[in-house]
Amino acid sequence: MKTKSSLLVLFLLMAGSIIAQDFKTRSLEAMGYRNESIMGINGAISYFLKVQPRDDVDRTNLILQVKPSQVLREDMSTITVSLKDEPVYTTRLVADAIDSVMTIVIPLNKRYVQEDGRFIKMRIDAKMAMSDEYCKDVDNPAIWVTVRNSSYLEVVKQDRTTYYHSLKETISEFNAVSTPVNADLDDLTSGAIVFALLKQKGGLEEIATTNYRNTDSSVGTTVLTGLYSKLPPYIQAQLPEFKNGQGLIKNVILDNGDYIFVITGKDQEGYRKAIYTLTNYKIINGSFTYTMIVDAGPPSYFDKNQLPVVFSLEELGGTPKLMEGIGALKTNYAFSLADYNAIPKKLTFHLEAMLSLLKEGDRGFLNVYLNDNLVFSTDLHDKTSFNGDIELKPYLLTKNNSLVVEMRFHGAGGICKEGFSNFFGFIDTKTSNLVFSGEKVNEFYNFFNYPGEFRKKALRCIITPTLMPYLAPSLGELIYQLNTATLAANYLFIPELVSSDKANLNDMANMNAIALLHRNDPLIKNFEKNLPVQFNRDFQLYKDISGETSYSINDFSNSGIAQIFRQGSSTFLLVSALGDSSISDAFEGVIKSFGSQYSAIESNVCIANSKGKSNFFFKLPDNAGLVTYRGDKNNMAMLWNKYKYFLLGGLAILLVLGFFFVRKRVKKSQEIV
Amino acid sequence: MPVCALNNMISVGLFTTAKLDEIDVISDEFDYAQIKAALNFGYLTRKLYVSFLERSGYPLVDVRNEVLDESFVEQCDLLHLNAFLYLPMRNDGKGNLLVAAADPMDERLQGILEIKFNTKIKLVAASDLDITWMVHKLRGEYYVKESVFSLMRKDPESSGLTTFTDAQLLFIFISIAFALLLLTVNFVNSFIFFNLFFSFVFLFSIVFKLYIALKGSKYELVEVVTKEEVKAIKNDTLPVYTILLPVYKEDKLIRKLIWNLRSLDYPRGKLDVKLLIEEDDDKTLNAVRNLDFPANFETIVVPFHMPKTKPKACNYGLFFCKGIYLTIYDAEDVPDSDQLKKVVSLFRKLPKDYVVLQGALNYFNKNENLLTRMFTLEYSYWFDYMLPGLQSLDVPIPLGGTSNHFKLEKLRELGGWDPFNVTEDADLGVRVFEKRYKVGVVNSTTLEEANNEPFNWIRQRSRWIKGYMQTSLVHMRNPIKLVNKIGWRGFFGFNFFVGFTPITFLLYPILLGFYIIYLVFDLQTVRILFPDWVLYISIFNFVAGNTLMIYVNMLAVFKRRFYELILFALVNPFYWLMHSIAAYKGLWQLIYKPFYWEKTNHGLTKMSHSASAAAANASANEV
Repeated sequence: MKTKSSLLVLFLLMAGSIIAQDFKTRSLEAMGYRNESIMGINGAISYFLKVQPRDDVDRTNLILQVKPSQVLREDMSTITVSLKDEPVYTTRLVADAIDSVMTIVIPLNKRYVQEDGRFIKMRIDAKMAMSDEYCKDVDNPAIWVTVRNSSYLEVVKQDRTTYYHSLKETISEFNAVSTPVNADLDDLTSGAIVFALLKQKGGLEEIATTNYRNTDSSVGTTVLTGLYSKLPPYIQAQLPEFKNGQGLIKNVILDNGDYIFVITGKDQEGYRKAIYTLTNYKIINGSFTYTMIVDAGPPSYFDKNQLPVVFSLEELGGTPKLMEGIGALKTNYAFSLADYNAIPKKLTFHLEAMLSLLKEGDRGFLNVYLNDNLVFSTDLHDKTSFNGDIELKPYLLTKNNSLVVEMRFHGAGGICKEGFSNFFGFIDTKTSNLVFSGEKVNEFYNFFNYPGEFRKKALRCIITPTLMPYLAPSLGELIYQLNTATLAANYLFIPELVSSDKANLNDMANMNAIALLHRNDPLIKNFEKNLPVQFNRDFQLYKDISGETSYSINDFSNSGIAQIFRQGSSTFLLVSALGDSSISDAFEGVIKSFGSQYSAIESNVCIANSKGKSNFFFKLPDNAGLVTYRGDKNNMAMLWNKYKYFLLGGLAILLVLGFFFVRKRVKKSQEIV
Repeated sequence: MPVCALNNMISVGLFTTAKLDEIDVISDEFDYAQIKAALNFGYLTRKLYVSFLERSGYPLVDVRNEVLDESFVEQCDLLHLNAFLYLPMRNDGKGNLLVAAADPMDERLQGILEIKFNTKIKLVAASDLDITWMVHKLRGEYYVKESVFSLMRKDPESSGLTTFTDAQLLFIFISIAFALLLLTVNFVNSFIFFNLFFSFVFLFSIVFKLYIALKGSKYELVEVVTKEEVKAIKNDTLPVYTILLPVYKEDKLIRKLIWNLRSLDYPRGKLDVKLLIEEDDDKTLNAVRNLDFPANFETIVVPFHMPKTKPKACNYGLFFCKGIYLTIYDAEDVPDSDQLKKVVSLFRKLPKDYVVLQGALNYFNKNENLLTRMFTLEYSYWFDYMLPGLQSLDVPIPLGGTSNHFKLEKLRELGGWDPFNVTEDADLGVRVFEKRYKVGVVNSTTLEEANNEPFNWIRQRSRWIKGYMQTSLVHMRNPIKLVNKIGWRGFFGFNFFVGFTPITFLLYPILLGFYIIYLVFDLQTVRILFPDWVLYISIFNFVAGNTLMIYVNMLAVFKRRFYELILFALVNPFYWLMHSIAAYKGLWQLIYKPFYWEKTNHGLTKMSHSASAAAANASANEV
């Protein structure tokens, strides 16, 4: 009944405001949460819901989708939602049908927003039972409730004109980037930076990237970047007067309702100042109204960025967590090797936790799992805290890792009711940390080395000129990946961009490089000796032991290929598209793929298509003979394939001649008679 | 008592009555003229005899350059001419028939010829060797043709005249074509298949050799004939024993040969030694003529006829043999002194179906250089281990080139040797087996001269390998028939020993080449042909094969206690390469000159065999 009335309220609320208002939904999934379950007779989950600057929290609703176990007793099972530690809603858990999902609507209020203005802390407590026998229910796997990550915030946006915010917040309001159709390196840099900033705001919505011409009469709502002279006249008309050598960042509101965020400069120098300003977090986090004229803006290139070797769990995205209940109380911390500048030789997990004192006979254990492998276990008996170092075996590490801390509490043997059931444990995410020590010696460069390897030295990015208009999302994705969340810095670091026709590979002594090249770019010839796959020729991968191709990717259209390899003293990441259509998607797809490689295989070649939805990782060490090239693999093979039947014919003729010759000799030798 | 030159020599003190009595016994036994017995059984030197004749007014005529009326010769049988050493030349115009004779004073011969030709005979003196040369040249045609073609007529299937039958040629060429087709269709897999196949053949053939050698090693200490048994033999019970000595341009070895024959412990009156000389081999003939001491062999001149091979010469010699048993030695051979007696004793002990006994061969110059050492190792394992092993398995035994002792009657029944086969001995071994006779092994060694010069070695070996190819082709013309004749065991034994031997040598450098290319150059293309698993198997086979061969060679030193050679067994893989060179030469010759007898030069060694022979005998006798 309550659910139904809640729905009615929601309907009325929406009906009243939906037409005129600018509202959006933002799911828990988009905020990075998975479906979370509470198991056992009671438990709790906490969420930090992201709030954006223009969100009108007072008019925003939280729509929770909760799926309880079908066997729960309605009269004894409840769920309570607390916002900022204040209970706001409690209801009984009812599962009407196998797939029934309870929808809970909670109107939000500004007072629930944390002090930093960025989050609302939500906690969901559940108390569940399926029988009168409390002790029977303990550890019964049938007792659970799941909070779906399809739960969402239904956000109503404030009017843009009424809101004061920072430059970054202003940019994050957009979802599209537009670069000139004849984009050059500056346009590409600018587009990529904007893309990376948009990416940083999170969310699942795709960031649209388009190209504009200066003859366009409308470009829609977008971030528009380009030299003043390249801008369409109707945009130019909206811009204030500014001088050569000055950059301009302006939020333009057009009469037709389009918002256009313009990044420009009268000349190259000014344009670059505007672009590089976007990489300075101090500036872009500062207050911004509509117009910013930039007189100075140095670039923030990658150059020996020393990442910290110690990350607290909080820095890795963990939140302080109080785990209550009995049985297994688990918390998962995810961390990526990308958080470090190299693959560690040793990784130590320093864990600080507090827990309720166990009574005599109660049992308590602390377990630590790395990627589902139990790496540490200790008895918690007689302890109220744990403080220790746990060594994580490097061979268990993959690129993306899950570190689970589990506290397991069991009441004194069998006497459940008299036991103290509400054990609690608390993991201090501020003082618990992962300590990186030593750097694994690299003999085989692979995607585990990415992105760390490319942050160690100055980074150059080599681009084929013809691809510049299309590569803003790809380069943006790279910049986003290279500036991982843990890179606590004041700048958004960017690589130094060079056009491939002007690239000099000989002055790269202290540099690494990422090359985004067309497959026919002549520069690729310089990498031929070291490239795992000579992709500018047709190739087949993975031969079986008989030497026959056992796996072959034949449809290269829309596929991107990325290869990581060492040449001289530099590490190269070469990205290219194998086909000639949808080049932009191919690049972006493969970059996304190797950036989020979950495979435990140390791969150095990645081929991805369908915008990265399908991808293949290959480990192709030098001369492993796992690649064959079609067509001109080598002259011998080519000759053989082309003429083998002629050759066979020739040999057959020779054989026949040989037969008659020998026969003649045999007969001749008999002439003795 | 009819007068002859020897009577006259006694009267002038150049000869003794006692010797003449012995000669009478021999000439009766062999049905020879007395002078033939005296000159060929070690009683009289030719030089002494010639000077006696000249002093007695019988200057020698050069029968090889005299005018001959061949109608007289044609009335004579070669066997008689050869036994009594005469040659009718022509009428002297005074009503006398001029007859050249080794003994112009032989009244008995004169009487016989006067009756035969019904005219007065005038005997003139001539060199017995020249007479022999002439009579064989003029009257030997029938016999030489018989020696070439008799086997072909009697048993064409066993004759090597046809190197390849049409069916064999078709089979070989179709197999090659099929292999090429497979390689064209799927080069890599076919290559891998062939590579593995050959590599396993290689390994299997070596494992088989090891097995046989181990079998043979059981007989290492078995003495089939003991010294006591040899001592117990009474000389007067011994049969006439024929020794064939086929030589070609071995003039330097004739002296050695005489000493070697003299050291044989066998009554000289019962040794029917035939030195078989080719018609064009004046060198050897003159060496015999110029000897300073009495010769203990009879010279037989083999008339010219193709093919000019050792088996043809031996077949020719067979017509003149008088022995019950027969053996063949090379000119440089040093047989154990009691070898013949051992053979006689063993033949007497063995069942009747044993028709051949093979003596062991070894080398007196084994320590001369690396090649002779390797050769010694090879012969040691072959004759001391393999042959006893083969005998115990009851499979065909490829006879060795010399020191094989036959029952003469059975040898003739078998049709002698195949004159077209350049390893007639190996071929004969199979034919013996086909006729359900048996080959035995006698515990006696003949020391030979190991080839100490690489090119000479390759020449010799190319002939042997070509002969194995010939033998294999001859007997595999109809494999089913062969199986019926010699059984499956014999069939496999024969193929592994005779057929696979040349194949192994032909394959060896190819396999070796591939590995070297793979290992040294590490070519990407070659790597495709050697996926790891193939490489492991191939290398295992190759290494295991070579190791086993080294092991077999090492095994060889034990019986003869040649321990100083044991480390040289490690060089075997290189020694095999020389075999391969010889194998390819042999293959080429099989097509171009199938019956060409690649002559091995003897007498190249600088080592005296007496010392080493004594040492070898001593060590062998200790066993």
